Amino acid sequence: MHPILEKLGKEAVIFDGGMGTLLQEKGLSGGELPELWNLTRPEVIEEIQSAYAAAGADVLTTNTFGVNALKLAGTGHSVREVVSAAVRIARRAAGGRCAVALDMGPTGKLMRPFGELSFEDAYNLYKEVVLAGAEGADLVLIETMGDTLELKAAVLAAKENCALPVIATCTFDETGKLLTGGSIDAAMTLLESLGVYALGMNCGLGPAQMLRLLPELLRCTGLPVIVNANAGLPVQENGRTVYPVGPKAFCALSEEVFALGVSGVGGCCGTTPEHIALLSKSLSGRAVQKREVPVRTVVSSGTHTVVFGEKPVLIGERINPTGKPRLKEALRQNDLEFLCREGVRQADAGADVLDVNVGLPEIDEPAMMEQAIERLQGVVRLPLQIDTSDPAAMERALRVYNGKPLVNSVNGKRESLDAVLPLVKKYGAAVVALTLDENGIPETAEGRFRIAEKIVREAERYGIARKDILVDTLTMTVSTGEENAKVTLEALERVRRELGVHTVLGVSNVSFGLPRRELVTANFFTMAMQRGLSAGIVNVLSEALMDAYRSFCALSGFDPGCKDYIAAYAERAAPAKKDAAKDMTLFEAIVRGLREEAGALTDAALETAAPLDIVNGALIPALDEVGKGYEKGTVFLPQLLMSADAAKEAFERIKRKLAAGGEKAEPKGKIVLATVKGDIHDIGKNIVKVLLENYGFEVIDLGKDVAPETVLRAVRENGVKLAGLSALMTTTVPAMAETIELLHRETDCTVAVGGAVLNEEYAEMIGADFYSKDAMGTVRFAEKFFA
Amino acid sequence: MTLNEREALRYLGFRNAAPDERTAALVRELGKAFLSALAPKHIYRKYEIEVTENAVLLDGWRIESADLARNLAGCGAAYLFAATLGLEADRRIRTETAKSEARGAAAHAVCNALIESYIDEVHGALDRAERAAGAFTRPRFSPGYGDVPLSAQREIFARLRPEKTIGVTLTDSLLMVPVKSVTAFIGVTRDPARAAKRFGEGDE
Repeated sequence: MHPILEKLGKEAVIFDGGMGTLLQEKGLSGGELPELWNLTRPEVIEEIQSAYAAAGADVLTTNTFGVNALKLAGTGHSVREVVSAAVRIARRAAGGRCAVALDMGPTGKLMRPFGELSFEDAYNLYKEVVLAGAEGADLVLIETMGDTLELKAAVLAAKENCALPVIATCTFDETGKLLTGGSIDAAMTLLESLGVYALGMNCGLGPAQMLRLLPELLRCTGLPVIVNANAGLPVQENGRTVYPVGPKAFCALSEEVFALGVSGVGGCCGTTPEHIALLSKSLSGRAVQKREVPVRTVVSSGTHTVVFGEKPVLIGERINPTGKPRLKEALRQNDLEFLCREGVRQADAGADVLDVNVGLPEIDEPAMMEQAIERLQGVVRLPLQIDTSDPAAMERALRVYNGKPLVNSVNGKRESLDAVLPLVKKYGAAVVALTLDENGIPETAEGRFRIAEKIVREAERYGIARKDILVDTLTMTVSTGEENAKVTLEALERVRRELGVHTVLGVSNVSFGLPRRELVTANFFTMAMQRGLSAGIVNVLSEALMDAYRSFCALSGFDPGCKDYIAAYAERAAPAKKDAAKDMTLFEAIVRGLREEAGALTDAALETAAPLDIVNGALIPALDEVGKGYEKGTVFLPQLLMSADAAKEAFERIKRKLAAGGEKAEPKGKIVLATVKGDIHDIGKNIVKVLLENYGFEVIDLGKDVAPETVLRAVRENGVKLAGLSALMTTTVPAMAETIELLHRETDCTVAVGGAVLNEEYAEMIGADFYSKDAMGTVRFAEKFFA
Repeated sequence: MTLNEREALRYLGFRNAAPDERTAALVRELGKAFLSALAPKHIYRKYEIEVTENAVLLDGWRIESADLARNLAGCGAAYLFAATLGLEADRRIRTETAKSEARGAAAHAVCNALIESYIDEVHGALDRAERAAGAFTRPRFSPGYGDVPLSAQREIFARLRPEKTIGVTLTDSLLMVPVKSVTAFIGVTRDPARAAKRFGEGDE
């Protein structure tokens, strides 16, 4: 390791200052890529970097901030060419004294599920830069990052493709948020879990603003912290961007930054060799301020962290197919929307973390796990618990997961320890440890404690700290052994006290086989929390359980002023169940768009009527009535959608009933729907989907930005005769034409189209068989088509 | 940024009709939640421009467009401007859509109204600054309007670099994500008769 890096954390290390702003002064124009100057004007780059070296910078960053294959496309230059030239220039400027940092910034694209870049795409863009520049560099510096998932791709690409130390710094706004909304804690927790050498913040703010955010950042991590601020917040003067903080003021503020316990200080946009020279003069040789950082058990999502050991953590258990026929059916049909709905419901009900288990023998679990993680992270902000016994599914999930995940689980079996612990270490996860081994689940608390001890020991051999282990002493059914709950809780208490690790229990199992299960479950949960339980894997939709939890928190000092308790109960003093659905028919409930009532009335109707009779007798007539109103202009879009939501709920109850009996609803016809390639607007397509489903059609929803070949494959594989395509932008209509052409050439599939930019003539011109001006039009067409 | 409920309802199809109570309540509920959760951001830079009959020259970039040239006629300078509600808006729209289609559609409409209000505010501030110097701003003009192709986005992005500063990115098909984002030209004129009368979009 370069001697300067060995100083990091002990003695001040000086980073260099701005590059892009200096290049603009030297004539770089607005639309030009600064990195191409490594090839066209290397002497300018070297002059700037030599000036930084002469000013006393210990670390020089290569002029490669924006280099990647996407940005270089069309320039006629390769990543290798630009990066290796940049490293050579920095090496020359370093002159044997300075360390050279291979610089990598954001890709410029947004990651899925919000944008179009997949995790592996981002990973490969960074990998190419690392492979081109690692030789000749002393460290990799990932900087100005605003998205935790992209940050993770960059760090993994660096760590997996070279042996250099990795330093990563993020850009926050004045409220301490990343551009994608992540908190300081979320970003730093992720970086620390991935095993970076040092971390911190750069760009976006001046040192004065960073000073306000730094105490929070320094509390999150024990690693060396790097701060590279801009020369203040930019102002526009006569059409030019000016950074107002001069060298003297910058240096004075940086001294304050350093005094907080920061290890590395330099500059970013607007800073110059003069800024760095003063900084170096004042800080070089000074010892880094020691600081105390509390040890925490923490997991994160892309936006925030959840800490164990304070208020008990609620892990929502419902995304798990065991004993849930409707979820099984959804997984088999690749219906991820169902999964997302379950996720959002639990988040709304108060879950802190969501368990995600998609294991079914007949599906490709690694692929499903990856999709489920991506989709869920688009709709909920909560950290996820990756629940699988398949190491391949576990690794896929750990890779694409946006944050520091929780893994469920490892156990005392050799096979499990050997498969799971290396993954936990590599991806910096926290892990649930089950106290069972080759001999099964010990009957005594002592036996379970011994296994916990063994797992902790094994984990420590892999370098996994105790703080990242949550022991589960396993809840057994109390109706099959009166000591069962007692043994679990005794083991729990010992593990907490003697091993000093946090604990977790799946509580629902305790009441299996008993009447009024929720009473026993909720009371057991209270007892466990009282004995020091850190997290429960629970049904947060159970009122009894949440009643117990909120009461416990209020009584145990976890709910200051009983605020949460009051917020939950003040408005619903009387628990009397309303029976609003009584005087209404299902038809009326749907026409009026009353979802809960529609669900309850469907359940009641299913007692006596056949599902098909309910659909034909109430659902469709109601939707027809609303649809006619919409076509006449007396019913508006939100009302149409409220009715669609109510009908969807009715359908959901029917599906649930059928799934419980092992049946499936027989569809009127199968339709493939997609928003065409390049288009990311799917609101119109989604409305069409809901309506078609409500009318009893099976919809194979391919989502948005769908390639023509993908549509063709879905049509072929499912023997589909009708496809619906949507496009909102003029730029994506050619992709629609291409898809239609492919389908017509290769199949006898009929193609209906819709979308804001289309009209009758345009649709005909691109070869569509049918144009619909709105969602109801597509339903009418499908009804005729399949009649 | 404030919520113009009328505007949100207009996006939901209520042009002159009064909304039903539930839709109105939903728009109000989401508006309140989004206003406190979203952190809109913007960036702009001012350039000297040359305008001919069919083209505009800005920072070495020649934009062939009669419509933009008409909008910027008589202007010696123009702002390139980008603004966004941020990724949290996308996230919230998805969450609401997972709850129900009606909530999803309302979330879209509320966000559309919010970003309009936000850019009107920023445009208003630019206009005040220009007026202090004896000039006026023109109505905004965005890529995709008239004969300005969406490919103009690439040139705007190369100059403003909104990926880095406000987190707005461009897809290969030239759409912006986060989805509730706007880019625009805002002309600066000395002619009071050409000043924007309100800070809406379009060419009056």
